[in-house]
Amino acid sequence: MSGGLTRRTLVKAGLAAALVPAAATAAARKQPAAGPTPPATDVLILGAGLSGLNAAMLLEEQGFRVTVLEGRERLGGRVFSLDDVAGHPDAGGGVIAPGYARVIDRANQLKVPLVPIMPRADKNGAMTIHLAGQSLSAAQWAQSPLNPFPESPLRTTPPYAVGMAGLRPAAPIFQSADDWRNPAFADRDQSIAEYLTAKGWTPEQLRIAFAVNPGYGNSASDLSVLMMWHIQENMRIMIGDGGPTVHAQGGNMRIPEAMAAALKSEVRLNQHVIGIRSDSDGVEAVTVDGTVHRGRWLLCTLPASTARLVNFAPALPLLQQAAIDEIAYNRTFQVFFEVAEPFWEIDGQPAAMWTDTLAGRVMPVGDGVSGPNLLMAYVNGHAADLLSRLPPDQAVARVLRSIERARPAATQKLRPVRYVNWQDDPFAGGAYTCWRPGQIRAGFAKAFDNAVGRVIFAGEHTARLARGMEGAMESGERAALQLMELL
Amino acid sequence: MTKFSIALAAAFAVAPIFSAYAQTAASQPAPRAWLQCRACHTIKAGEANKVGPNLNKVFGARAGAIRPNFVYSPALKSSGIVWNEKTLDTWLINPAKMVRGNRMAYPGLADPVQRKALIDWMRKEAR
Ligand SMILES: Cc1cc2nc3c(=O)[nH]c(=O)nc-3n(C[C@H](O)[C@H](O)[C@H](O)COP(=O)(O)OP(=O)(O)OC[C@H]3O[C@@H](n4cnc5c(N)ncnc54)[C@H](O)[C@@H]3O)c2cc1C
Repeated sequence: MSGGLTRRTLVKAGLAAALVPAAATAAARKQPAAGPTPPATDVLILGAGLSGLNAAMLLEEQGFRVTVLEGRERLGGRVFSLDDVAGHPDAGGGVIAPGYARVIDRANQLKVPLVPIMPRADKNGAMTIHLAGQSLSAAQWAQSPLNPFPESPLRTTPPYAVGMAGLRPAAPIFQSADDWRNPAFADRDQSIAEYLTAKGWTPEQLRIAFAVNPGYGNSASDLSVLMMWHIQENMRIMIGDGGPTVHAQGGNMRIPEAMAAALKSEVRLNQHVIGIRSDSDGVEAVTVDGTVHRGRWLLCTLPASTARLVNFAPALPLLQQAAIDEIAYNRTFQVFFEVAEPFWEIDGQPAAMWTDTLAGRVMPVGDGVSGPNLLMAYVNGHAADLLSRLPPDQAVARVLRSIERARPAATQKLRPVRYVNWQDDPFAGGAYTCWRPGQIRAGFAKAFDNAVGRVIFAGEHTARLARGMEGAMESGERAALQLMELL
Repeated sequence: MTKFSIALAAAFAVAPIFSAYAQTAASQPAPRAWLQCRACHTIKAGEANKVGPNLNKVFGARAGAIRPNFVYSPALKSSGIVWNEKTLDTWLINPAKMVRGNRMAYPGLADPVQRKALIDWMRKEAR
């Protein structure tokens, strides 16, 4: 994408300028005349998302000094509650599953109330299916000529669940919770398309199941089937005893905010890091405006999608750099609407919709109590790409028009209040890690298990067992334990 | 500032973080390996279950039995395991391998020295 290239070029150019003051500082430090060097922090932590903040809390608790640098003006990273929208809906990490032990424990410890999430579909989990201009209920879908699956059980499974249902029967038996990274399973790190085509799936079946509103990646061709099996195994554990899914009252961002508030050291906001330079006894992080921060060790929790815009000196080993350059992220574009009148009561269909239009999936969000009814259009895959290439006003208008066309009862009932473009966000570059076929086999998932020089890595893309918010917390914990041994 | 007041100030600074994990006076400091357990488990008598069960009196107990108000996985409940130093040691190497289909999200602790330190500490705390 040309936008990405332009940004990258700009950042690299900015780096060259920024390294001048960096070099000057380093030189000054060597001269005793410049006065005593202020004591460096034990660990510079890049990123005030869940992974960085969890590591910071654990390290401080054990008596180490940390300095957290965050590029944005706010905390939480990919946990992002829209405080400018009534009801504080979550645009980033939203659903906390019953097995999210670390997220739940931190919230409880820091007295952030967790409340059950309003169901995103109706009571039976149903969504209105809107495909090729037709609206169908789940029951109608089973009879529809648009349904490409010839037989039960897949024919009677709604299109938004059919991909997972198709993969489930053949899942490998994992002997440990991180077996998906075990070389013994490497030969199963193939694309879903390759795997299911061999089982007789047609291109149309693959398209419906994996390319219309892809929860991961863009299509069956760019997703690892091994990752999907890991996700299924992880879901089994995270669903636990089947208790309710929850979120933080007032938005999940209250959790990272409470974590930052519990730190002794203050998180430094607006510190957009563009360079990481290691020497024999420390590491420096250079920001876009030339500020240099120094620590004995550095914990990099930036997603690979933004770490690839950072210049590492010395260069990272090939495996780590390749992983940073190539790990793929889900594309996500969201539009939030206030609902003047619950149109689903007018037409009697489930409020939530699964569409093949530019509106993607449309879901009720917010708590429905503290503010008006809200709808979120959640657009993934190439449709999200298309929207992000349009001027925002046009993108929002296209989404609105798509909903109104698919759902005439919604006409004049929706007021767009906010859009969020995750893949073009300079501090995100996408939503969450989606392993491409062959990347796990290539060792990308394990590439950040160990320190590289004085740099340790964490973040959701480095998690062994969990994914999403819990994966981020897990990775921060793992990194903190590693650092405790090194310090 | 006197030495005492400095120490006091330092103690207060860490207090908010420690409070949720407060230990009784008799407690030994937990080994670092416990940092990976405590988001899920408590170990003192009377403490609440978390995502995992409270582990008080776990030594000598049947797996999946000691906390009647905790929903164990069917796999663990029917495993027939009785917890002791040896079974716990095997479990901590890789719980998914010892009891297939259980729900403990733990990658395993490869280092036998760390496992022993953890189990020794747990035995004292869980009494
Ligand atoms: C739309 C969406 C929906 C999601 N839904 C769910 C869900 O329902 N359940 C779930 O569990 N997870 C969900 N996730 C995933 C979850 O939110 C993330 O996996 C998790 O929050 C990642 O935490 P992290 O600490 O690894 O990374 P981040 O939160 O991204 O933290 C990294 C931090 O680094 C900062 N940063 C980046 N680049 C730089 C730089 N150059 N200099 C300085 N700072 C920088 C960022 O601003 C950020 O604060 C969702 C994510 C998105 C986007």
